[in-house]
Amino acid sequence: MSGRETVLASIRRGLGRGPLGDAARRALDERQGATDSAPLLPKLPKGPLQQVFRAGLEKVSGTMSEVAKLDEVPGAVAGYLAGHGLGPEAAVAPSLESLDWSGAGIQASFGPTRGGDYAGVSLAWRGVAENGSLVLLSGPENPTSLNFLPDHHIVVLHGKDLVAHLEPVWGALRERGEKGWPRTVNVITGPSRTADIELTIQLGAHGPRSLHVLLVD
Amino acid sequence: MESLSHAFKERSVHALKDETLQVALNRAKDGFAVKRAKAVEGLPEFDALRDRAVAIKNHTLENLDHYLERYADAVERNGGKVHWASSAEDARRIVVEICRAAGAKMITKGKSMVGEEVGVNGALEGAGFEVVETDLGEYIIQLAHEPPSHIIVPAVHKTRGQIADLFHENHQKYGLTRKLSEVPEMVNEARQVLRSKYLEADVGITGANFLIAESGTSVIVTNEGNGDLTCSLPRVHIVTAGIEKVVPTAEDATTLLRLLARSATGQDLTTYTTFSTGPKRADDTDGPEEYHVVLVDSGRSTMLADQFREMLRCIRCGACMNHCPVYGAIGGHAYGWVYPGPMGSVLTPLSVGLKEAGNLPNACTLNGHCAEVCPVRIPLPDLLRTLRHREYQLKLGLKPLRWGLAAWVWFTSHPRIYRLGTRVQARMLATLAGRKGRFTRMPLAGGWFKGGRDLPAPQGETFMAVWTRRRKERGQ
Amino acid sequence: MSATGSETTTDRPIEHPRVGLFVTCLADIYRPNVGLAAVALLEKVGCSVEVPQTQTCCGQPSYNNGDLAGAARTARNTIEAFEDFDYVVVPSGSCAGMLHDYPRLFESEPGWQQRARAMAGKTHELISFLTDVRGLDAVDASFARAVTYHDSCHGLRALGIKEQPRRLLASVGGLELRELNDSEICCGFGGTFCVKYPEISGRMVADKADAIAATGAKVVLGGDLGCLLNIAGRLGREGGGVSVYHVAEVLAGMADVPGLGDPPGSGGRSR
Ligand code: SF4
Repeated sequence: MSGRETVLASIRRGLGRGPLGDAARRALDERQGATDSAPLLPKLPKGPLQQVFRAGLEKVSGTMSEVAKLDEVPGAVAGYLAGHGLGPEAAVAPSLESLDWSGAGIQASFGPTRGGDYAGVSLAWRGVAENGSLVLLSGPENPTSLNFLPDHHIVVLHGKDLVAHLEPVWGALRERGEKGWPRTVNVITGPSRTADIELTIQLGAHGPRSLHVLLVD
Repeated sequence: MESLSHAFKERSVHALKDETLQVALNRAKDGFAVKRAKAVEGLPEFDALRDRAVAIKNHTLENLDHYLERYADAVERNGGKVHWASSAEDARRIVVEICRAAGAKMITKGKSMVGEEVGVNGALEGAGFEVVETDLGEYIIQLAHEPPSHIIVPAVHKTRGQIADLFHENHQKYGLTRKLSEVPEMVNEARQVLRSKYLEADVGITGANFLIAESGTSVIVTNEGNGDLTCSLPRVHIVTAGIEKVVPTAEDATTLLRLLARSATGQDLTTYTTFSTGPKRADDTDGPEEYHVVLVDSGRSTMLADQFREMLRCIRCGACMNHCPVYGAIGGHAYGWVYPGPMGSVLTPLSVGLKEAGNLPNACTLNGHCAEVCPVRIPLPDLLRTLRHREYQLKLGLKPLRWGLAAWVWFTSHPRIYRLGTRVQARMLATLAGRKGRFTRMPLAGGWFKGGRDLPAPQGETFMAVWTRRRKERGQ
Repeated sequence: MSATGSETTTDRPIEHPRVGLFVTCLADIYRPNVGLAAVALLEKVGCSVEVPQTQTCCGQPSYNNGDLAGAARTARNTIEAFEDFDYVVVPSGSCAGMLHDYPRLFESEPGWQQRARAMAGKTHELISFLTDVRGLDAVDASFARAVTYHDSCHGLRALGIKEQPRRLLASVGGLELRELNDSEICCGFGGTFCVKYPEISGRMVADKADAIAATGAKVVLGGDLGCLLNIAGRLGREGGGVSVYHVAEVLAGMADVPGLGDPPGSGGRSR
């Protein structure tokens, strides 16, 4: 018997039944999840989504600034880098390659990083107001390494991509059809942290020490 | 992992006397409970979400074979490979084989309790691989050659001084020779050391907090980002997960996520929640080339058969130990196996046997604090009581206790003799205690006094005696 | 048997219910004053109190040590003694909780299980019975001391007793309640736990004693004699002059005797 069959048989023994019939399995497949009811979505604080998002982000030590148009992103990044005493270099996601980086005085490299970059710039697929979280999808346009290796992570988020809860994100992923789930969906809520030494919270454990959101709206 | 649970008594007494440990434990005690309470207060839907979580877990467990099959099929559709391990031994063998086939030398690991449970590290090191834990807490205890003492904060028992010593001793070889004393510089140094390991590693091994059946996705939560570096930089990513981790959909996982961080650390959501589905896609520029999942049964399917199925709802949040006064007094190592505290006192005897771990379910006052905070409403005290029942039936407990209980049952079911006996006892004890009103010692009751307390004496007459006399006086 | 089943008792208050007092083995042997206080309080709220002479122990020692058959034997004795009353009242959250658990002991004996269930349905812990069933919200007693209160775990978690004793204590003349930090944390008694793992239990009760000392109150109250014996034992050993009473003794104006473990003749505090 294969490992699979052994484990499944043992589970069925535990459950005190044989394999489920086709009809039963179909019924399970047709359910939307484990409970019949729609997910219970926590009520969000009153106010516009942007405000709720910002509050969530700031609660976890993230920061945010706004720009009116996507074109203004390189300038805003340049300002951020200068403000943090960093050189005008950044590892930028290919999804943002078409912007005028050199015009803003930034030496940008496009593609994944192997470390050694102080700043990484990525594009979020969604922002979630509930906890001030960012949802990033991996792919050639948005390499995952940019989210974790640089010390400073700057994430561009379009105002129209803000949703209230995580649940609609899953619905939208399903609607991508064929493409479905990318290799990685990163839900990022604040900069990296640890409390492993004497339960003292320290930012920048292995991942970015700071997380900045540029909201384009 | 090998069990030391048989030595619980000695180890717990030792822990109580370990002053450094007590400092560390006292720090943890309030911190967690207060943070959790605040986080729960901030989410009015918390209790309703708990009910949902119970329903999600129960439904999935009832149909576990179905969801695991759906999950495995989805993983393979996405180009990953699923391995089924009946036992811990199977799991170890499978992981070693994958690493061998990958021609690996260096392996990084994210924190994984099932990895600790089946003993992945030992097996890999035995097979000649270099294994580096990347979660800061796990890294610290790896340097100290110790098992975790907490499932969320593995090195919670260590003080910064001890950690500074460990770093000083182990980081010399990287040219880091300064002895550190502050938390930020220690975190930085570990970051620096581990950064090179991530980039060097051939294989990254993580656990999973959830497996999503619908999409074949494994979910990990970390605050440090170590899990992400572990699963995205090396060529091969291996996920080790208990079979009970599966849930039908991402929405179901989201409901559980709302409870997990709040219960564990008092955060609303952990910093990084990462959903991995298969190896890198054809056009991806980063990510692992191979993606393996090792599904571990190792006794879990047996738990489906009885009351202990409830234990399989556990999402390993650690709230039960954070609120357990026994854990708070002795820490995690005294329990002697991977899982400490209330959940460990249920899981350990089921895994290593009651003969080995019989103390664990007994070392509990049944105060119920754990069940009160458990996000998936596991009736931990009831499960512990059931284990005591099993132990009693197997005649494994202490003989004098059995005799004492039998005598007490006989006594309590013979009311007339009971009345007489209690009268004599109350009178006698009151007389013996005399003017002091309490005892500072007493033959045959050494246990009570060993706890550093006196024993108050009875008032003298039993209530029944007083009552009977009073009724007579009243002429009733 | 009285005509009232367990259902009716909760629906319509009975004017003068017949209450069976389950005094508990610890109160019977150690602290008859708690039983007397319970009777006094119950009579104040219009109950006619009876004390079945065949009652013994609730069975927790067996139940919590895995001897379910033994617990069932003890339970049968309790059921036979109490099932005919309108209510069964217990001055202990722990023992009341045990009576609520009786049906679990008779999974394979439907007849007994039925009887156990019926009795469990009308079993109450004393203080919550006074407030929740009999609507009491003030007592006529005074106790001019600063006190602190320990919430015993079983009463707190199995029966939801938290606010009720505080409500009644607020009406006691001269009494000042100083809340105990960690009042919801177990004192380390745990029945046989305290003798099986004395070192751990000792640490827990020492922590409790520290928290008590921090309030500055010289009197500790609680609703469960097991915990109170443990706490009094520790406080007595420390010798800080803190007295321990069951909350019923204070509410009934009967805390004029020495506290638990205090020397005989040292009481007389309530007026
Ligand atoms: S038993 Fe409950 S509280 Fe304890 S770790 Fe598991 S889920 Fe968390």
